[in-house]
Formats: sequence, C-alpha cells, structure tokens
Amino acid sequence: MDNKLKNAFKETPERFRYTVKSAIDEAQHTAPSKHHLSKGAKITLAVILILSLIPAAVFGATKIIAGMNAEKEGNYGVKIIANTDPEAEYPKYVKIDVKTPNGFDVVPNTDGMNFYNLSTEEPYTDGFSIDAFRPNSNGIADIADYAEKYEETTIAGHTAYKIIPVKNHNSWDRIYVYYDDVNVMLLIYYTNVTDDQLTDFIEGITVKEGTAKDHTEIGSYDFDDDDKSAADSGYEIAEEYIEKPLDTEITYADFGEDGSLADHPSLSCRVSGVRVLDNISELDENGFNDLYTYDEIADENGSILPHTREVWQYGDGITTKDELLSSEEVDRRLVLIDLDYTNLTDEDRPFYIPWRLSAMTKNADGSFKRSESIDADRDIAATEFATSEIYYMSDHGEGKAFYFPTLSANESKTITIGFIADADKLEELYLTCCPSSDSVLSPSYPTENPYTYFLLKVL
Amino acid sequence: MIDNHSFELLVTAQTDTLYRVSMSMLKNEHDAQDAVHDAILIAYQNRHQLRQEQYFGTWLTRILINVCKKEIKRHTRCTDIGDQLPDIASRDNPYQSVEIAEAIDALPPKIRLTVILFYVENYSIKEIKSILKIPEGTVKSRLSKGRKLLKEYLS
Repeated sequence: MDNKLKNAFKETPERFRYTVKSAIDEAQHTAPSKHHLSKGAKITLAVILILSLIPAAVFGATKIIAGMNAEKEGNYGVKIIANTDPEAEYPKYVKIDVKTPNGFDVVPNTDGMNFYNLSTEEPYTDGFSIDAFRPNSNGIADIADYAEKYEETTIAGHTAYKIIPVKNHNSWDRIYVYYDDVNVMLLIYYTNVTDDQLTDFIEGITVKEGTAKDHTEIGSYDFDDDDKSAADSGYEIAEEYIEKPLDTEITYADFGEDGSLADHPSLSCRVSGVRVLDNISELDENGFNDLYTYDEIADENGSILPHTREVWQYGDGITTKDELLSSEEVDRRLVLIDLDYTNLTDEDRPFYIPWRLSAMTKNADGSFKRSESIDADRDIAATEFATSEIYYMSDHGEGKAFYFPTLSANESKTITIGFIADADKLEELYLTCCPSSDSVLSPSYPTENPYTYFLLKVL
Repeated sequence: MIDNHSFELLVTAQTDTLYRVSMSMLKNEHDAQDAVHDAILIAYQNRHQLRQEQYFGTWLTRILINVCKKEIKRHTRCTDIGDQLPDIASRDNPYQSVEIAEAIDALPPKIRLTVILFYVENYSIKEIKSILKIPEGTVKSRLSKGRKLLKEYLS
C-alpha cells in the first residue's frame, strides 16, 4: 500500500508549472523587499541551491564512483559513502530492468519499480520497492536511519549493504546495492520476504547504459550533516492559546469573495452543558463518527474500554532512537458537550463544527502547553489523552459532510458533540478552536499569528 | 532572508508537492492553481519569518494548507456541501487510477492530508507535526487510521 500511495499521483501538468512560475514572477515584482542578505551570504546560498538542483548526471563528466563504503553515523545511522574517481565517466542515461520474481507482481499504475507479494492477504503491504539514485556531489549517497547495524555482502556480483533496523522500529528493511559500471545505487526496501526471495529479486535486476528514450530518472539525495536535524522545527511561529469562559458566545462570519470577513455574523454558538459518561449504549448509534470503529471504544454492553497510554522519547534515528519509557492501562470516559447554535441569516445553510478537544496544561506564567508533551526539549511525549476528533455528534451531516449539520433560516438548535478522554485527565480538557484554520472567527491570517487557539475549559 | 533568485529556485523545486497537496485538498485544478498562487505570494511577503532556509519546503507547504483550508471554508459556504462530489472520471483527477483516487478521496480530510504528506511527499512524522501543528501522537494515529481505511477501500 505504501508504494501504491507513493506513486498515486500523475505528473504535475505543465500548465500548473506555469502557474508556479507566474506566481513567483508576480510576487517578486509586486511585493516590496524589506530585508536583505549580505552579498557573501547571497552568493553562498545561491551556489548551494544551484548545486542541489543540478541533476546528478551533470557531474558525470568529472566523477565516478569506484565503489562504496558504509560506516556508522552516530548510534543508529549508517552513512553510505561513494568513492569517486575523477578520471572516469559514467553514462548519462541508464536503463533498469527488473525481472518480476515468482509469486510477486508489479504494483499497478506505478512506474514499475514496486512489487508486491501475491500471497499476502492485505494488498500491496509486502514485497519490494526500488529507489535508484546517485551519490550527491559530496560523495554521500545516503544516511540510513534507525539502523541497529549493517552487513556487507555480495549479491549477484554487486557490493551490497544490508541495514538491520533497530528492534521494534516500524519500517521496511533496506539494502543498498551498488552497480559500479554505471554508477547507480539502488536502495531496495523489502518486507516479509525470505532471504532467497531477496537474492532472486536482486539477481533479476540489470542496470545498464541507456538512451534518452529509456532513461530512468535518477536523482541524488541532497544530504549533508545539517539534515540530521531537519526533522526538528526550524521555523518558529508559536501557537498562542487564549482562554475564554466556557459559556462564551462565539459568532461566526462568512468570508466574502475578496477573502475579507462579512461585517455581520451569520452564526452564533454557546456551550450550554457538559456531561461525562462511562457507557455509550444510550447514544444514537447514527451519531458515531465513522472515523472510529465501535469495538475499539466500547464493549458489547456499551461500557467504554480502557486503553494503553504510552510515553515515548522520540529519537532522530541517527544519534537516538524511539524509546518506550512507560506503559499503563487507563480508564476512559465520553465527554458530551451541548452547543446551542443559532442561524442568524434568512437562509437554510449547512455549517462547519470546528471544535476539537485537547488536554492542556497551564504553565506558571499563564501560558499553555499540550499535556501530552512531557518534556519538549527531550522530545518526550505521551500518546493522546483524548480523541481530538469528534467521536459522537448529533445531529450531523452525512458521509463526507459529517462535520456539517444544517440549520434552517433563523433556527436555533442544540448540537451535541462527544469526545473520548482519559478519565484521569478530565480536569485538563479544553475545547479548542483555531480561528484561522478551523473556523472563520477572525481574519488574522496572514498578517497576525495564524495559529491562535481559543480554549474553553470543559470541567 | 531568502533573496529572489533563491526564492525562485526553492519554490520551483516544490512544484510537485504544491500540486499534489493542493489537488488532494481542493479536488479541482482551477482552485488548486489559485491556492498555490496565493500561497507563493504570502510566502514571498513573509519570507523574512523563515529563519532557516532548509525548512522552506515545510514552511511553504504549511502556508499552502492554510490557504486551501480557507478556500474550502469559503467554498462550502457558497455551495451545498451535502451534494456528492462529481464522479472521479468527470472532474480533475490528479491520481494515476480511479481506484486509488476513490480510496484517497474517501478518507476523512485530515487523515487524507496526513497520509498524503507522509506517503506521497515523504515528510517525516516530526515534519508533519510541524506542518499541521498537531502532536506527534496525533500524526501517528491519523496514519494508523488512514492505513486501516485504505486497506479496506483497496481490498
């Protein structure tokens, strides 16, 4: 399935690329520039960017890999390194042929580089996937993360490095295979296949010089040491939380065609009641969000099931790996919230329910943080204390429009929404509503902080 | 701050991501082009806010998602959202096959976006956490639910 998704989209149409170019042009010729880089910084940045965007083949006239090495990078990384020979050249185009092994088939509608195991009950979950690439200009081919160790081997005459993943890390296995005559490295992902099947698969691959007609597009990973931290947040647009009383009346206004908010609100909403239940059997069965299955929430009598709360320290995959710090079973409850909505217009209309539930902790300075975030600096967090998505809603829209109930002209109606939350965290629960992304409460984006959340303490 | 030449290179390198994310959210190319256009203008006007250039892609994607959300809300107030989406074959279809298009379209919007960012755009869970401003556990649970639903749809 993973590979099918990776290849789910068609190529970007040329007309869309033209839109991007036009927008860049318009932005640069209409918006004033307020900040400037030093000349040196500009040149450095431009060189880096240009190098990163030049296809690897451009470097072919001066460099060739004469082999590859692997070495540990940090505790859980494996750096795959190319040894370059400046005297040789490699072909600009290569052709990759893969013989589909017995018992496997090509994932349909892909470029033919993904193979799934026909004997697997679930479609496209097991098998092989190939990424082909050349090392970047620094000679680094890749840095495999979450690797417990690696093994050098030879398969079908090719040097290969098999990556042994850290225990319990949920990913496909990986093997790097180097085709020295054409300077192409294949990264083969595989899962639930035998060693013999892996060997057969690699033996069925040929990589040779090709032509522009049968060129297989091969990129290089633009991977340098700084990228190890690329997963960390590099830009800092802080969320802001503003607490309001639970019974605050909130009004909604429509966006006009020009993107501005209408002068008069079209909808009002106020919380009118909160209930906490440990059994869902009395609820309207048509009100459950099909996002959840019944048996993952309650037993046959409707009693809400406990669940396992885990605390993880998440790693970067290179120096640290994900560590399960604790695990405990906790009871859960259904938190039902009644919302009194009024349609302030003279027309029937559907409207969006923007509310979600979060467990929040108030800091000494009055600011808030998500309760699951135990130690942000060390990236320690618990699994969710509450289902942020609505679990139950009455009434609601149908199908894809679940979050859009309808109000008649000038009608008032009570909409009940429910969330499943850990019983020991009920005091930390807040209804949340982000004005810019989850509702049309304020026109703050983009000139003001677009990530301001209103918080209504539930209990 | 990013200079004009670098901005052009960085945005151009993100074209495929811009196309796929906007099409998966808005479902028609005309609206997707408008959203991408607006997102690029907003990014240019606010590029001084980006402190580290290597996060440009994540940053631009987040801006685009916000523009798309705004457009969805505006659109839902102009049309009857209870109407069925037009048949896949009769509307702009960015996917390779009708089967995968229907499976992805059937996902709840937030799960669909998370799945696209993870499986198609290859963003890490931590990057998605930053793009969508949700806890890491939420990213994982959405991916888990997305996988479960897709397996059902594709089986």
